[in-house]
Amino acid sequence: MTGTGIKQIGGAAFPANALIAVVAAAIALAPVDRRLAMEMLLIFAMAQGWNLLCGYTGLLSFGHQAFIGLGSYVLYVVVNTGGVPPSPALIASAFASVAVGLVMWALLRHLRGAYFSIGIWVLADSLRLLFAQWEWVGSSRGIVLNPSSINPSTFANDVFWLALGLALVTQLGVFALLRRRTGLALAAVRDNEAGAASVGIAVEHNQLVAFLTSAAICGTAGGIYYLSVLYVDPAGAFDIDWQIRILFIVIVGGVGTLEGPIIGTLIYFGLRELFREAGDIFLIFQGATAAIVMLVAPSGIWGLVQARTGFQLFPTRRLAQRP
Amino acid sequence: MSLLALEGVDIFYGDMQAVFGASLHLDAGETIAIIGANGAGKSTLLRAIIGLTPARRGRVVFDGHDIAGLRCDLAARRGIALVPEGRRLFSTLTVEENLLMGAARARPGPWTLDSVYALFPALREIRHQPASDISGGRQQMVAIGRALLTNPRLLLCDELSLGLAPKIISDIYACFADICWRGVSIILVEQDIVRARDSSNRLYCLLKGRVTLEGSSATVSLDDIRHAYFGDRRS
Amino acid sequence: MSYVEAVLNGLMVGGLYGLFGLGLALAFGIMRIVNVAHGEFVVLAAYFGMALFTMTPLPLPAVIVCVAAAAFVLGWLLQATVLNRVLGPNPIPAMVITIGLAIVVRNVLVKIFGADIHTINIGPLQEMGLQFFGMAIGVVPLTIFAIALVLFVGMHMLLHHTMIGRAFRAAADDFEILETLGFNRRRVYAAAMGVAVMLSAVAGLLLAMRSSFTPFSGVERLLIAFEVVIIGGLGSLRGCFFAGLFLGVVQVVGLKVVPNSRPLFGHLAFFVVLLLRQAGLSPLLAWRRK
Repeated sequence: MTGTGIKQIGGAAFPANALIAVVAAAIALAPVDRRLAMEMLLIFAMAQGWNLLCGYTGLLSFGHQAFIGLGSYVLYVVVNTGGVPPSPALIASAFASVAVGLVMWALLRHLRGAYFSIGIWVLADSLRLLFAQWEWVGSSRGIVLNPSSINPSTFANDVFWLALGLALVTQLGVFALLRRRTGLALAAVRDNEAGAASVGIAVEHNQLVAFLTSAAICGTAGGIYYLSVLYVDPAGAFDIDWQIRILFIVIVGGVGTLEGPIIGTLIYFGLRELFREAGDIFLIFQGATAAIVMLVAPSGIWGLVQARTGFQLFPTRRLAQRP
Repeated sequence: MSLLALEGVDIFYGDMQAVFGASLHLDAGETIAIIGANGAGKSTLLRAIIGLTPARRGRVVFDGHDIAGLRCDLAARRGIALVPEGRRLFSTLTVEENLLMGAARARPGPWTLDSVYALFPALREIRHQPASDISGGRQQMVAIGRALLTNPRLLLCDELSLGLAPKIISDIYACFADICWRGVSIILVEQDIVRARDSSNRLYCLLKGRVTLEGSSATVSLDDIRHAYFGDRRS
Repeated sequence: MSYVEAVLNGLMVGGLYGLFGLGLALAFGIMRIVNVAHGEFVVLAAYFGMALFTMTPLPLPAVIVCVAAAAFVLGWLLQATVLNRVLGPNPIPAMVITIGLAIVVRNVLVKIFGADIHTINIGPLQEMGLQFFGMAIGVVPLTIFAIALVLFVGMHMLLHHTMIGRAFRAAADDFEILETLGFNRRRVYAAAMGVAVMLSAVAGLLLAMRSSFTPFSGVERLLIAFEVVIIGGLGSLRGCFFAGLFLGVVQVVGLKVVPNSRPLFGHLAFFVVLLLRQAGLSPLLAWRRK
């Protein structure tokens, strides 16, 4: 069994990437409701980022609302007090998320399983409480975006393009990441941390990369979202509901697959339309569905499809080369 | 009268097959030994008998009933007990609490707390100590006592001598006469070939998951054992 | 309220926090399951108790017993019908299932009772106080603390002097060997979850007598329970109790310093302990794989 090279990925990237480009163009050109499309693209990006952490390193986070809130507040502060235009200000959102993510990692790195999940929840809750007390950012009243920082006539389109851009970068980026050695390392870490460590994979390094990437994506997405509503407050930006939405999308769509978050997002928004009249019931339904899917089909919808057909829209599985 | 019979048993850990078509039998009142190198499948066989790692194919006939696939606690309640490899005492419980766990779901029978303390007098003095604090030899006594307290008909002993000094091993094996006298049949898994042969009526040898030798302990030759153990003839 | 009174009040509510933590610790220590709906069950118990108290002629002690019994059954059913199916080394399925359950419970409560604040008013007893070295101590908080103490002692007796309690501890140590001794593992787990939910439910009901609650209070209760477990250590009854007291004091004193920030100081204490623990005892924090 010597000389087995595990380099060949079963499937080229080009068709999938081309597909992404086509879909993106379709979204950009078709006469869709750009507000709704923006929302869908943003939540999709958050879900895909979170999925990178959960599905590929096995770290289930209940606290990514921390980055959504952080990214949005940083954007507001940078725009309002720094006079920076919103689009470049998003870089600060991403950067701040990574920086705070590093600090969080220092606290959480030795925690595994449920300890990690709830630990990061405590961190997110702490951020919510801190921002609600902090006068400089308006404490619980929140902040209104400086109106002169945006162009009212192009605003709706501007945020749409930002969202589309983020979704594209996220999908292409995560896809590329998983096709490299890092992707294989991540999957190994998820399946067996000790085993991965014993073959020389820098477990913590890979987990940290996934963690910070997901933080940056959520931070930027949060920034774009709250930019679009022109107002941010701690109760909304740090709301656990963001995390629940993401969880629902990834679990139902199929955790640990690239296709899962796409399907999950479509299903989520489809159902939201369906339940438009009955808001409470939608939440109840979300919770029940996530639980039932986990019991009955833990790999989600795409997991079922993949099990039946072996089809990968975004090929990341590797084949052992026969000597 | 056959108490236990394994017929063509295949055992897997996930996708990896550990035991291939193993067959053996044990009559009531007998003591048989299973020997073999590390990883030969000896412990796996015991786990399959008691139901911790169910056999995927084949039959495990205990007292006339096929118990392959039976849930572990139900198999245990039919009269099978395990003295596991590495002792595996309940570390946060005391010596006596460990023993009491054995008695909790016990079948009716001669073994009681007092009779176990009579068999292993040293345990009476340390009965209230945490099980993790006592020596290896004492731990082995507790493990045996705990299994005996379930009043089994079949006692499975996995590597009793592992990590223990020879004197202590001898003391423990010396008690076996008493155990057998009370009507318990025993399967001994041992790496110490001589000890295994001297303590059993018959023995089996496993190599890479297959039974390579079956014979009477009194008459089987060390040469035959060596061949079956290592799988090639060494001159 | 002086600082000394704040500390005493903190100690008294801390007894309940200890019980919250104990409920979570039992489930996690024995089954390696984190019931994320833990906090919602606590709140559910409060609502159920309030409904019983206001709508039936049952006296308060009977209400507590009813809630405890119902909670035991709920915990048993949850474990037996749902959580026993996802046992294994991967904690994620159980966590996703229970967080789904938490969302369902929370929003069902909103639908039935609305999002307003409630408390359980037990009448004139609410206002009674004792004078103790010049400080006023409420009868209700004192009684609640006494009940919490009794429950802790009761748990100790259960774990150390009954067969099922020993089975709980043995299951936490080595569930495979427990099975080889003839114990049905799934039934032991169901009983353990029943006890865990029962403890938390009683604590939640008691807390509702001195604190207000809404359907959204569950998150705060869960995080408290979690912090108690981390600070007190997983396997220790005493640890839960004292960690609860510590957290109670930190919160009440913290509230005096910065109003409206009740959970924040608890979170900060949690981080400090986490940092201190990183230095020495990281194996203790790593989730044990079996």
